[in-house]
Amino acid sequence: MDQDKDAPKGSPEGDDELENLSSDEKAAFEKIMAEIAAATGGTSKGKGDDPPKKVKSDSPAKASTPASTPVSEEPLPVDNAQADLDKIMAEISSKKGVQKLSSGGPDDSVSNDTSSEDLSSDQQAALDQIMAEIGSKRKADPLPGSQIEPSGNTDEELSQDQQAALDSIMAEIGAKRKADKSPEPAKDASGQDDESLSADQQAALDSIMAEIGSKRKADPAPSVNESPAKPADESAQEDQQADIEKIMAEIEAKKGRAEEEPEPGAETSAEPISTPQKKSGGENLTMEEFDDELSNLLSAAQTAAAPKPAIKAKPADTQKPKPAESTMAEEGGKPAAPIQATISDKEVPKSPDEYPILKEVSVEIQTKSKKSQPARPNLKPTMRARSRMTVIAAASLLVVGIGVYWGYQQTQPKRRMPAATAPETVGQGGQTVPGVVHPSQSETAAGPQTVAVAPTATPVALPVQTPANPAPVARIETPVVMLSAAQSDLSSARQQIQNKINEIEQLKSYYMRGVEEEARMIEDALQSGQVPSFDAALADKKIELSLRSIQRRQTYIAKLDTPLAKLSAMSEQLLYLERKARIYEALQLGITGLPIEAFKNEVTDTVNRYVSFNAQLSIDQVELQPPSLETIWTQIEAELKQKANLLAQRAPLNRTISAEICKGNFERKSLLSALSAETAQCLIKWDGKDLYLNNLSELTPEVAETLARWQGEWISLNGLRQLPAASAKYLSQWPGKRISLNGLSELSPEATAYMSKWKGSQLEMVGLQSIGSWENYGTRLYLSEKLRKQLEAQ
Amino acid sequence: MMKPHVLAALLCWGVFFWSAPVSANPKLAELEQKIADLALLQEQLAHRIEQVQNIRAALNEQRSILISEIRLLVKNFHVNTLQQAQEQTRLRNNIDLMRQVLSYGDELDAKVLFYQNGRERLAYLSRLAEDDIRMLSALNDLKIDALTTQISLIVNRYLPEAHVIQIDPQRIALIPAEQVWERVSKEK
Repeated sequence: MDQDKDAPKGSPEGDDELENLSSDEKAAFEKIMAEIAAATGGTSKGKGDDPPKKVKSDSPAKASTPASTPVSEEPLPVDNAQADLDKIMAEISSKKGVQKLSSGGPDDSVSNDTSSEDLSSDQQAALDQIMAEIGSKRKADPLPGSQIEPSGNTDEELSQDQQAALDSIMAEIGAKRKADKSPEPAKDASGQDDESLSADQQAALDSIMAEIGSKRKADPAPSVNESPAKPADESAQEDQQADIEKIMAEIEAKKGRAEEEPEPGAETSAEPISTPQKKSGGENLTMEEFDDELSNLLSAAQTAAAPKPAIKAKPADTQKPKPAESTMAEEGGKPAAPIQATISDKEVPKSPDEYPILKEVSVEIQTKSKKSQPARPNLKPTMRARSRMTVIAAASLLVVGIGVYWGYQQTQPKRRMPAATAPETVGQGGQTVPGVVHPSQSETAAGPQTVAVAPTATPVALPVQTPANPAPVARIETPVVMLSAAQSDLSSARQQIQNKINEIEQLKSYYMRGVEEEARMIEDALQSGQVPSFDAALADKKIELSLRSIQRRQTYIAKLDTPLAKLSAMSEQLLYLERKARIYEALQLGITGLPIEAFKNEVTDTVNRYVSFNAQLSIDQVELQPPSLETIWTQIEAELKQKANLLAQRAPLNRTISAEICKGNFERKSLLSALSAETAQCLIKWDGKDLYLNNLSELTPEVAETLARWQGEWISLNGLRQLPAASAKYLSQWPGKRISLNGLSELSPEATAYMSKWKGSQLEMVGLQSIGSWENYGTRLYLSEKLRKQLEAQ
Repeated sequence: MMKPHVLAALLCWGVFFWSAPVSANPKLAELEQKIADLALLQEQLAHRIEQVQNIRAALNEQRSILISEIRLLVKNFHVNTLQQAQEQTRLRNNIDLMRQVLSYGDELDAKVLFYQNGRERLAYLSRLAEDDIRMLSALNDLKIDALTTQISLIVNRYLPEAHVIQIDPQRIALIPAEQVWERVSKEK
């Protein structure tokens, strides 16, 4: 609105200009000036004061030349026209200065505009550059002509095409502006006024430039002719013309740079104005391209009116006249391109219709905004897509994790079953699946080489699948597979039966030892050494309890014989079937029609029978009358009397032999039926290699400790029926090579543990019925066939 | 237009080459086919022999195990007769298994003999066929019907055994336990 006040000043200037124009031109010029007057009617003087002052301050410099003298004396119209134009320029500059510069006069604003750019509006930046060009031109006017002429010549060369392009642009802009002339609603007081004013001023300037250019084209000769007559007019017109050409060159250069530079915001702000002047020669857009760009800009500006308030929300930031780089650096140190993009996104729509020329200058920015505008709507979908993808990926990972955990849980019992629960689960009566074998077993047994497998191999480690978790192993029902599966099932079932038999035998041995201990306790209880009657024995509570314990244990032993016999028979049956399976396996390599299916059924039935029997394995069902206490006492009484008689009979012989041994005569040592520690001390002095004491029925720990010091090679104690753990401890420390204990039918786990640590070369215990865990396999162990297999299975 | 003499020459040339295979001796081809069949069957029988020998070896292994165990049990339990042996579960089972092993072993031994005889006969027939081929190559004609018929008979006889050892388990009569006991006792 400030410039509206300057408009009347411009109307006389238009009258002077009319003198050099034709009637049509005059009419056009008047129309333009009327538009200018309408547009600049409200401009404040405060803002427009500085540029005219600057122009006036520049004019004395021109006046130093001869042609400049009449300028001051020239009539007002020319000065008025020049002043009007300068006013418009100053108005634009002042507006720019108000908006962008925080301090400094117009000179500073011009100089700053050449080096910096307002990031809030690229179009405004282009206008600033134009204004800076004009200002620099005016500053350069007092300089020598050698500095001006080159640029002027360049402008002269470019002016033809540029002028034509500018004319068409002006025409289009004018048409568009008329079409879009609908007044915008009043928004912000200052900002809105400034924008409308600058737009009008710019439009007026464009019209003037177009008019002047057309006039120059239409009447080149009169201006030449009139040049000597009116040097001041000429000089003013030349200045105007130079300015206009500069402006046009600047516009063209901007347009060229917009096409060339990928990131115009950063580079255009940093480049000096002279750079586009140099490049402007060969970087003109065609009219069609320019029209397209202009229409795009207009449409983009119309559609992008929304970010306007956002820009106005930060006026302080946008008005700081900082260099582009420093501004970008200050804004969080973010990269230049994104900042510029965001600024352009926000600021380009700020001047949709008010800056038609600036629109075409900011083609690159608009283009960039067009490019960047889709990026903003795409940003959220991209983020949303990313978040969706993240959620989907997390959900997928969760599902996969659950699936893996479930699968692990499903497979875990199958893996653990063979090692942990195979024997027990079969014993608990589940329905064994006879055809199911360990995969490795079925694989190895599938080939014809199965025949060559040693039949004595004991598949101890083979698991038997429990019916609770029937393994869903898909097997091909070929004879080979069926037979190997049957073999595996039979072997594992038989092994379990063997283990059960061994357990029962161990149990029986335990009870038998208990019976013997009780008998010993009864013997110890007889303090007088005489055997009492049954009634007298029952009167002794200790003896009575011992008798009852013996009765109970003997009952257990007898009852255990029943399941033991059944298990043994079943084991034999399983062994028979297993061997039959091997024979069938060998035959089926070349003979078809073998009754393998029937055999498989037989195996299944047998194994199932075993399973069901094993589930009901108990002695409760065994009907057996326990021996009476009197019977037990009678047996004990007989044993005690026999032992006493034996001791009485052997005692003299043993004493005699012991005496001989201690005298160094070892000839009858093998007749010793009892050995005292003193006799043993004499016996170990014998320097022979073999010590046969097979008549000894008892080996006390003291005697064993003494015998352990004998330096021979072979001790034979086959008469021993029992070997106490303490005696075994000392005997295992004997450094000889060979021990014979073939009379032992049982060996306690403690004694087994001691004897298994013996470091000799050979240990004979062929009479053993059961044996515990054996540790030392370096010693050659002579056992029964059954025990040998049991040890192999361990 | 082709000249008549050129056409006639082409016709003669075509007739000559068309009728050339027809003029080969069909007996030669038949005999050669028979020889090929015989060779193939021989090779198949050789495979069967090898297969039988493998089975026989496996059975022999089982037989050795069973016999050694029977001897040990007989010695430990002082078993002198079959009745005594039948009283012992392990002995009874082992004798039963030996019945199968020995029966199938005998059958397999017979099969090996059968295959070996067959191979010899096939080789013989193959030699005869080669002789006739030479005769047919030298002379115009030879009666080969008898030979081909004989070859066909022999081939048909052994052809079922070409891929599978023909032993029907249902028809195998297991040798009695007494016979097993005798054979085991003899091998002591």
